[in-house]
Amino acid sequence: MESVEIKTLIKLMSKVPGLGPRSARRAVLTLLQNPKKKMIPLAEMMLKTANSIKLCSMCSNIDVHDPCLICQDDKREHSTICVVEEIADLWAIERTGIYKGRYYVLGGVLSALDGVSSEDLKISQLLNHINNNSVDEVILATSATVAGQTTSYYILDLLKDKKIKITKLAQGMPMGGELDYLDEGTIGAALNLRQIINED
Amino acid sequence: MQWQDKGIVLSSKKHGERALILKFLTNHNGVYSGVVRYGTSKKIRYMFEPGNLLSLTWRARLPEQMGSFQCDALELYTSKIINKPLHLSALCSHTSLLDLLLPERENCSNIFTSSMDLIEQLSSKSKLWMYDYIRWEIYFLSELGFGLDLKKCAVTGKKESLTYVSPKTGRAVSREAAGKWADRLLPLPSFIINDYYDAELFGKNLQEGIKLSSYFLNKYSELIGLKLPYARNAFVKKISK
Repeated sequence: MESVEIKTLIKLMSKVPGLGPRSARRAVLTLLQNPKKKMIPLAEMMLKTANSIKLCSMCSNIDVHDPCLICQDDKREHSTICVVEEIADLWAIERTGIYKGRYYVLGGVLSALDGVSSEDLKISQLLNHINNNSVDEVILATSATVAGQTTSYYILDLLKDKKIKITKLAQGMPMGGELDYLDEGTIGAALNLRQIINED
Repeated sequence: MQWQDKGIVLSSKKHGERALILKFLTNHNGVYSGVVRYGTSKKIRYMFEPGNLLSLTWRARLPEQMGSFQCDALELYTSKIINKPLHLSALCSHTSLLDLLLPERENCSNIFTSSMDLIEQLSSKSKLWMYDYIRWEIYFLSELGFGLDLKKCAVTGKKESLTYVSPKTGRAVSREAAGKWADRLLPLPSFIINDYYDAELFGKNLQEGIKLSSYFLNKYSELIGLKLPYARNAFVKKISK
């Protein structure tokens, strides 16, 4: 029989995405078996981060600094903004290490079903951000879903009168993708956007 | 309890971490919701975009339960439409109207067939798909029991020169019968009652058509205490530009 404290801990842990009650129980047991090495540092770091976490006033990213480290970085191109749906998308692009511009997190997508309209997203703040900074290119990096593309076209409508290059992410074959397993839409997009093979 | 059918995806909602609750307009079973286990899996997630046609197997222990779906892709229309902003907006408007206004589990094969025709038009290279969209909305109203009577003039009974619709009764009115009340009536573009398309009047006809369907859709949705969906308003805004 577990004590109330341990039960509560398991319950709280099971709320984390990816963990159910069973896996939360395993994780808690691992922490409890080595409290000094694993549990206390984790708890201290969680408390420290929770107390200092901020939403970046420039790009709506989450960081312990405001502006976030990406917005503070002078080496990054200030004239390019990559618009993403969620912070997880920002992290995914950052992991590639290819993109060297700045970001803007919308906080979701337009969705008729969930009643998410343009007022619920940070679209007007994005426009202000673009107007107040000298931006040359906006990359609309929303997902290739109906909701993602609807949001993308909505922003495109708002920006088309400005003299800004507006781009979107390419669609096509993923790394390691086998043609037989791909959907027709992806194969079609890959065929439409085929490239000339260069030897270099 | 089990049935097999084909259905158009209307909407999807996350259920827990891995499952989705999907809503379909099916051919023989009407609008049906159900759980798709592991629906968020990368291997099958692409199927569940609004407008795609899927083969469905619905299973539940009792008929009144929500049940679960097993799905297979038949035709992925969304991928053909997703790169065309206006077409995509029309598709969203279409699926959100079906989602909002159709009752669940009531057979509506006619609406399924007309919806399939419209989605085919949207994914084809036809330039007249906007006319088809408006005609579909007028047809949808009639299937909902709110049909417009556009066969003859409500005043004279004549079948020629029908140019207006009464906002009160939804019946057609001829040019002569309209007389001084013409400005109180809604214009009836010719493409709604026959297959005649006037290229020169494309923009004007379109605006009149969307005004007509909007008026009666609004009237219907107000009667049942609903507001027209955001996606439909966004589409109207887009084509009005």
